[in-house]
Amino acid sequence: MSAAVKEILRILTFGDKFLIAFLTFGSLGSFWVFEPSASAGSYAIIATAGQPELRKSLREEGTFSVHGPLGVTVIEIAGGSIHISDSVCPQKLCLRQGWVRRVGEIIVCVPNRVSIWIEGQRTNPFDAITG
Amino acid sequence: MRLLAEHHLPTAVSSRIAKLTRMAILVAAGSVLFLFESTIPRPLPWLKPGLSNLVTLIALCLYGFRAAFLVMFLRVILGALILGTLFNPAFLFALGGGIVSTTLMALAYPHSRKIFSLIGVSLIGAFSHNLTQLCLAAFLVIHRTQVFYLLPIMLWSSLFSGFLVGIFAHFIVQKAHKLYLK
Repeated sequence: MSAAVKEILRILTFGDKFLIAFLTFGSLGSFWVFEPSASAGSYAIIATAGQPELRKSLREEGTFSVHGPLGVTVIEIAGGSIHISDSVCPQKLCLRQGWVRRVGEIIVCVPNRVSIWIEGQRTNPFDAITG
Repeated sequence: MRLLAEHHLPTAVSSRIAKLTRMAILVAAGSVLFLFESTIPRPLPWLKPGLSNLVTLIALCLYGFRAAFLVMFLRVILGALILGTLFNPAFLFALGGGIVSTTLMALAYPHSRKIFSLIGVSLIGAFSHNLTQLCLAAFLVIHRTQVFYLLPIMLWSSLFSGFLVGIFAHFIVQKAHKLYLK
């Protein structure tokens, strides 16, 4: 094992170390810039391919559905949070992304082309990163 | 592999067969890694470590850019066929990320030993793969730049998995050179 570690240290070049340092600081920096704000959002934007965006207040509890290219995605709002409660997509990764409530958090269902993100008043100064 | 080489085939033919066989093994191994990382539980469901980049990197070291590209392409198609995601956006992400990362790794590889070791080449591959996927998601599939909120976690994951894949690739290529080539 220590032979393997020695070998790794031997082959690491200056370029490698630079790249590792760059990625480490880059990811730390991007955590800071792209961090979802700690403040709870006030409404959710639901975007489905080929349809106008829906804007829902997180205070309106209830269940509704949107129709993506594959079929129906069921979305539920409760207790100031939103999640996808049912979807036609094969792998159900969007269901497993769970509940979101803070400004900047997102849920994406790639197969059914549904994306949800939270908007509202942010307490941190970075809110001008969207295009 | 040795048996083939010791048969009475002309050397050129037997080395072509050996190359074909090894590339097929790399495609199969890459598909297994891809399926493995699709089924293990992950903290975030769409976040995968990208272990199958290992076979692309090995193919690049042993047989060059064209072979690496072919191995990547076949691995992506085979993985998508097995998972049933062929031609859906997830497949587009995998293929787009694969094309960009393979190209960038091929550009970085000739400079290995001077500027980058295989670890650096692998980090470039992992990083560009993740960035391509995010850009495809933001500009083609979802049309929202909000997906860049996923950037920090993807950078972290590409750091760890790229490093790991680079180390494995280094030892495997070293072994392969000792056993088969030269």
